[in-house]
Amino acid sequence: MISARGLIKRYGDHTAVDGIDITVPKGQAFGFLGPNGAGKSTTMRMIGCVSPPTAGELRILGMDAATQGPAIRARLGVVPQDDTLDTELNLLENLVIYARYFGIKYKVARERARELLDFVQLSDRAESKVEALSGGMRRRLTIARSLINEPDLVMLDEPTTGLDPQARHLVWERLFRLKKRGVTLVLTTHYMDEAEQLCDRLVVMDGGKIAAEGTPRQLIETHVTREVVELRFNTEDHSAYAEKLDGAAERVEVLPDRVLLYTDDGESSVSEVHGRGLSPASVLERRATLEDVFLRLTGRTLVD
Amino acid sequence: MRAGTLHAFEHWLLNYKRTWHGTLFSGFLLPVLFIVGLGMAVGGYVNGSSAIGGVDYVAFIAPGLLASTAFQISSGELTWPVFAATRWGSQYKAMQASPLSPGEILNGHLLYGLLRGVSSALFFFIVMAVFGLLQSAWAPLALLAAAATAASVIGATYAVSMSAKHESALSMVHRFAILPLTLFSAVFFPLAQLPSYIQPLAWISPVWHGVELSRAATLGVAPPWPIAAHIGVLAVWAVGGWYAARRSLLKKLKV
Ligand SMILES: Nc1ncnc2c1ncn2[C@@H]1O[C@H](COP(=O)(O)OP(=O)(O)O)[C@@H](O)[C@H]1O
Ligand SMILES: [Mg+2]
Repeated sequence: MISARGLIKRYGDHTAVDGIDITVPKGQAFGFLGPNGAGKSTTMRMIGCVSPPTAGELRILGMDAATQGPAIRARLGVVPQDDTLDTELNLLENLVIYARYFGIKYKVARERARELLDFVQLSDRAESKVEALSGGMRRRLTIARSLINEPDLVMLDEPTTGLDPQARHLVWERLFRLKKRGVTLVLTTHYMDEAEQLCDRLVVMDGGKIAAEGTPRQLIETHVTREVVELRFNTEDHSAYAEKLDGAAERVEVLPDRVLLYTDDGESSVSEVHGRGLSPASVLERRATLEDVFLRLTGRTLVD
Repeated sequence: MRAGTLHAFEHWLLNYKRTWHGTLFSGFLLPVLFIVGLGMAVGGYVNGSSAIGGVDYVAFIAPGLLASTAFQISSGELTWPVFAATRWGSQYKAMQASPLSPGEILNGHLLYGLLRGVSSALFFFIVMAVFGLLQSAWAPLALLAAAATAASVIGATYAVSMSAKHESALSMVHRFAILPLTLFSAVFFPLAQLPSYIQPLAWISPVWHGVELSRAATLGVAPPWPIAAHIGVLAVWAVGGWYAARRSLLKKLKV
């Protein structure tokens, strides 16, 4: 569905996307995980044929992004990072007029709009103005709108950023359904739980480059251990513990506010800590996540 | 015309469905008030004066108002709405993600501006007929003159609104372009009444050419310049304006 080779986007002398290669097969849910400024939206705009790449080859749905933009866009569903709804129009009008951009007949557009409002659970608000919607509802409406042309590929740029947990789960649940129907999804996020839940395969992106690629499981297995122990001590400065904990686990990572022990056996690492006469204020044993992968690869946390 | 142009046009038409009653005053009532008010009041002093070709004053200004209504409505539709569409509104961003090309997005919006001007002119034309102000068999051509006036200004207005850095530039357009163009384009008095050093300004004004063509049609007289010359100036404005508009849009849409 998507194949990019050496994709580059420069703004002046700033390189936002720095030579990435990706391949997304049909039916996959593919993710870009990375912090703000990683180049996720820039990549999405290039794939969406809105922003021309500075260099590199980009083929989407078997077509060349540089020369066949309108034909490609006709078959994409796009959920941009910032909603681009017409706040003066009501929900139904937003969907129908968007369908018209694709040349979909009014009758078909209205039928699909009703179905999609149903799908995103906004039917009861069909006639209200977008202005009156909450952030989560707007997001769902944008998702509904992206499906109006029955796209082969749906692209979602940070679908749940800024939503409260409940609104977020509603969006996830709808995206799961799309996934089940076999729709190819490409999404960006800086939430590792979102990436873990929704993505079959993902790339970790940082500074315009791809730092790693694989399924969530593979990434965790390759780059970090199975379990992580988080220790917090009653101190302003955790760096003093680097030496004291040396060797207590496969790897010790000291952050400003806590120490992470990467280990395949959390319990024995915890007893090792106590065995060394250390008494942390709090001990948390958990499974390793993509957050740990990111930290490992870049030395920074995803969300700060 | 490409289908996409119509699809983009429909967005603005749908938008208009919400606000049309608000445009009744400027588009329809105001010109009628002009005919009744100015025509009757000022007419008492100047009716039949040789400066206006020996006709009634109302018959003199009505065709001018016809063309200038088309001008004002079309350019008015393409100031704030065009500025807003890429700033606080996000209509263009949404269109950009669809199969619509920049050219279709542009032409759809221009078409809307044009048709708003032309439909106001059509209404005004009917009012003129009711008041018995269509004195020549050529009168229907005045509608074409009004349409040509609108067509000549939409591109230029769009270009200015699209590239404006700040909203205040739009009030400037209204105050220092649209209003003076209406006042000094022989709508209310013949060009000869202006000092001779100001007259060349009217010659490059698209509105003046539109007004003279419109008046020639409803009064059944020859316009001051050869018809082809009037049309030529309007065409230069229309084509030049369209290219300027396209340039401003491409610059704005670039990401
Ligand atoms: N239109 C633009 N002009 C200039 N710089 C830009 C533009 N868009 C993005 N950038 C820069 O490119 C980098 C990547 O941005 P973006 O793709 O938005 O990242 P992300 O979506 O991962 O947060 C950032 O440094 C950003 O400032
Ligand atoms: Mg982004």
